[in-house]
Amino acid sequence: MKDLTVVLFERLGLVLIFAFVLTRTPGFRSLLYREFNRKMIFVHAFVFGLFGIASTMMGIIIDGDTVVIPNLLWSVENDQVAVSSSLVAVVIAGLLGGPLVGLGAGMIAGIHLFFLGGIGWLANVFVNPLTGLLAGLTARFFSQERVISPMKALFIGVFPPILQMQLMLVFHPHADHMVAVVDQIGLPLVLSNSIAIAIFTAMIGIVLKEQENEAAMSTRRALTIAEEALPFLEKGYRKEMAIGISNLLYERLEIAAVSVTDGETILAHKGLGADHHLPGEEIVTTISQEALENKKTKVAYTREEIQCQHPNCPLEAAIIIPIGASDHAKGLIKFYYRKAQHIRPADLVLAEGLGKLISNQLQAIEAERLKAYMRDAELRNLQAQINPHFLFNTLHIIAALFRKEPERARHITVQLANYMRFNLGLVSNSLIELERECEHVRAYIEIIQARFAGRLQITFHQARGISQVYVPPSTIQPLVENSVQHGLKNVIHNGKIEVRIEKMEDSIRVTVTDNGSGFPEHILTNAGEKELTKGEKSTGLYNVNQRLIRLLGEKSRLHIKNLPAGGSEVSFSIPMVIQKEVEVS
Amino acid sequence: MEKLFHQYIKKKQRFVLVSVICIFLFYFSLPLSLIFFPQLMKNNKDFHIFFAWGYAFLQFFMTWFIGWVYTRKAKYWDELLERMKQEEKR
Amino acid sequence: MNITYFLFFICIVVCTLIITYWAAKKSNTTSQFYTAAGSLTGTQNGLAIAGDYISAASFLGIIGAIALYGYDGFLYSIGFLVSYLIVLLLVAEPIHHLGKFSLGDVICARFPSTKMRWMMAVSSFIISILYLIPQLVAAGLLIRLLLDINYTASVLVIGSLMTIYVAFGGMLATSWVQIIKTIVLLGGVFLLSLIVFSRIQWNISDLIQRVEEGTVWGEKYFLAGQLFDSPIEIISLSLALILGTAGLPHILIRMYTVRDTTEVRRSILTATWIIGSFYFMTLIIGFGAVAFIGYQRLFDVDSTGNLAAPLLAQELGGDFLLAFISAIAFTTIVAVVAGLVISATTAFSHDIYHHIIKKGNSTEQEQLKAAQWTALAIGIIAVLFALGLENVNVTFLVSLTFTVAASSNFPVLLFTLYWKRFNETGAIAGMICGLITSLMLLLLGPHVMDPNVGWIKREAFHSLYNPGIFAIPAGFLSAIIGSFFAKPEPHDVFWRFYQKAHTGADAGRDEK
Repeated sequence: MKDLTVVLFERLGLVLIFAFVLTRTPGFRSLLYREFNRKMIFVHAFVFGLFGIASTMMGIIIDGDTVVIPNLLWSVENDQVAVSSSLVAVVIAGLLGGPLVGLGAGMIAGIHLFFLGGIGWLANVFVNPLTGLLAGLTARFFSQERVISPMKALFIGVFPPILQMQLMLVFHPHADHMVAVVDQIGLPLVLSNSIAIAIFTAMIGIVLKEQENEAAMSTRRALTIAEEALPFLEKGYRKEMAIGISNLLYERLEIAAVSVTDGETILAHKGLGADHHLPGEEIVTTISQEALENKKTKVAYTREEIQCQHPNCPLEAAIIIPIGASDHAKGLIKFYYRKAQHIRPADLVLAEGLGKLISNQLQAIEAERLKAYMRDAELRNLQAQINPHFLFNTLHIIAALFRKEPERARHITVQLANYMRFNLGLVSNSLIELERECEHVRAYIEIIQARFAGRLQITFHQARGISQVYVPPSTIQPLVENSVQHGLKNVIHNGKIEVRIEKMEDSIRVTVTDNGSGFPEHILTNAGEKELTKGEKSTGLYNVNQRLIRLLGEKSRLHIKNLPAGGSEVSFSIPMVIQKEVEVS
Repeated sequence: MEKLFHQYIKKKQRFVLVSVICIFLFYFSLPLSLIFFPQLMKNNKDFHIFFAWGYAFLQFFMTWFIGWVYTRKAKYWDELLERMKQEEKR
Repeated sequence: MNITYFLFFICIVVCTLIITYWAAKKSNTTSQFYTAAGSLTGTQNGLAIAGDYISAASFLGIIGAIALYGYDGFLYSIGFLVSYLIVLLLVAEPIHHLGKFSLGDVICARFPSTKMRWMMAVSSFIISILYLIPQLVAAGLLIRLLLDINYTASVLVIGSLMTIYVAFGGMLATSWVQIIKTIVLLGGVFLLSLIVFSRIQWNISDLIQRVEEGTVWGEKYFLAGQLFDSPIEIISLSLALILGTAGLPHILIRMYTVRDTTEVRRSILTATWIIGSFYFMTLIIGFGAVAFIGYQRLFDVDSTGNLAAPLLAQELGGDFLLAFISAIAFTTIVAVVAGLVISATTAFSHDIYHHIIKKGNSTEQEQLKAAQWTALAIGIIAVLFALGLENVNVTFLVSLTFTVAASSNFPVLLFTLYWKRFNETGAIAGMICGLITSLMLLLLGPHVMDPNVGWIKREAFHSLYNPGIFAIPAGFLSAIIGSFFAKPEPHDVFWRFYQKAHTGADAGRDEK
């Protein structure tokens, strides 16, 4: 019996080697990948049935007491027993594919055994389909995984040969030595078959694992590509971007050609067929239109589907991926292949993934832009706040001076005009030259001095050699206004306000000091931070502070403090070199 | 309400009692006939065999049959019970 | 049998157990106690009940009894089967309505008291051990056949292995063990009967012919009376069999593992079909054994007939088939042993330890420990008894268990469920009397006391192999008389209980 076991193992080993080689071929592997549907059941049953037949042909013959080992088992005499290990393939078929596949494979193997004949033929014919069916049912019952684990397969595989032996006893009792035969081959069959089943299952498990690994690698590649594509995407959906992306994809993936289109025309094409898939050509193919409309990835498997007009176009298959920011597709990315078979499942996964990633990134970029627009609008809103009281009061003064000091009235009117023109001009720029702001401030000061003549003295110091410095408009003037209105509210005479603009190491420092009552405690901590509704005092500071921070940065925020000798000081610094912000189209 | 329950139970019990008596009668018919009609059994071999084995197999079928009948009846009683419970709730 | 086949035997046992382990894991059942109430379907539970029921006794013992004694052996099958009707009609549904966990719950639903709990736990304990002993005997004989070592050693080895397994590791006696085992057992037995048929060219009269030739009784083989010399024995046995199942705790608690009464009925029905088909097949195998091996040889190898089935397998299929059938038989034994030990230990650890000793204050760990110690104790006791019972057919032993159950548990259960005048005193009286009477009659009977081969080597006090005809009425009578010594229960208490038992409705309180 030991020898018999060894022989069976050897023969089965041959079948297993063949099986292993088969699992390395793409044809067989794609067989395992495909989803299960009606057609695939037949195909799977057929393939495993063939395996069963191969196992039978690798079997041995028992003739009386001797064991005959043919090279290939083509035929069996009537008084010989064919020892077939076809159950291995049949059980695997059932475990992997379910009851129907097992049944089908078993029937194929059984029919072959029917024609082979020999003693015990009826049992063999019967046991194969039965085993396939039972294996399928059991597998469903025990395991939820795609492929049953080899250990479980091992233990399940012990029982089919036992069944086979018993059926031999049932159907052929009068072969006198049937009992001896069963005794002889029973154990070796059980051992060899169950282990072969386990090994076969393990092999198939490996194939499927590789598929998983490939998918994981594809995903990683997709992510890397998406990262590298980011700089191109930020340029906006245009020709440059298309050329950049198509080049990138063509280099990274090994495909025949890449095409990038927008909603209507080709923007770029790199690779095979570049001579006639030209940028600027319109998209005419039906399948592309479908992809654009439904925003679903489509695959063209034949030349006809690609609908290329050029007769010698080498491209026969394509994956068409719609790209879009929101729910309509902005354009397409197409992967072209020479042959339909070159499209692997991993490629489809990659294409889908890339499509999603790029769409997401486009969406993100758009969102950023939108945010920037909105920020801009908010800023402009802030900037356009003009103090109405100031207007009324100044007009009042002008009216008062009108008769008595008409020259002065005229002067102030002009200054007011300057002031207001400046304010109007605010809307279009976010940063202006420091010079202009100083003019603005001086105009204001003149007006104020006119109003509060005698009560108030405002001095303005500006350091020399300051140019090419940009500030947000209306940042110094409100500080002065603040001192006038609040700091010196209760000061009847000798009020002083000083505006200083000094050059520091790498910045310009602007300081406004007054000798008034200073800031109340609670304002000191919150000033500029919150838009308090009590009076416009803090509103003005808040406004200025926000704009300084937003347009120049945190370092330029307002610094507010009370002077020990009385009065207050508000200051901020401007970094020396500042780029004027580019207009956003 | 209790009354109804008791009626229901009584009905059920009656069926059960009748069945059990039948079963017992049938089941013990062999041993009892061995006791009370020993001559019949000993002398008439064929009858004996016929009776014994027929009895044996019939027991099997009796079991299955009564089991099935009871299950059917019980379903009917269950529905009756449900209806009574619904009535009670109201 | 050589070592190769023994390894094969081990291999099949291991495979079956591993497969059941996977099945159990898959269905998320707790491994320690029976599946939580309500999680099995009727069919699954039916398979499990059949599994619990078809022990070594049914399988090996009955085949042996039929092979050696003909018709009388078949009487066991009939009794075992019809008893399920009694269960179905009389006790199944009330048990389902009244309890959750053990048989004690049912009786204590009407007579809640510590004493009652003790009584029920003790009786479950005793009956489980009695059912366990024949399993060990069968296992011992099997190992003796396979490995050719002597009986005592076999029993010790097997007994200790099983005890250790159940006590310390695999409290894995979930319902799935029973279910899978039943499927494998049915498959194996079915195939074996097919092989028998094919050997006789599917010609029944040929089989009958061979049987008559093979047996020592000739054509009387088919008549009643080869095993039991008097009809009194037959009646006694029949009585015990038909009433006994309704007193077996480990079968009755299967009424809890399904959802509702419909499923209860369906489980019992499924079980009867399975058990019935099984007994048909064992009939054929029994005939086959005597036809192909012959009475003399059977008797020589094992005078009890317990090994008829494996011997037939060896005859028809060589050592290969012997190993397979032995493996199935062995798995059956292991499964039943595990189930019995679980039911006995839960009765003890839950009812007594948790409720009574610890007054409801013990952790799972402590309960588990208590259960393990109990399992150990049960194992030791059972092994000790099994050592002395080498020469008894295991079916006989099981029928003795049925006698005890029918004398103690069944009367108490029946009266609790149906008799108004019954009370706690009556229950206790009935239980104690029933137990003592049946056990005494057993001990003093020819099974145990036999000058040659018995455990106690003296003349038996009485000659009834099956003392049921005295023990059972004794149990009933003592229950009745005991009730009259105490006051009857208040009227409404009984009616409320009665209603709950038979309709599942608890008047005035939430439903269970």
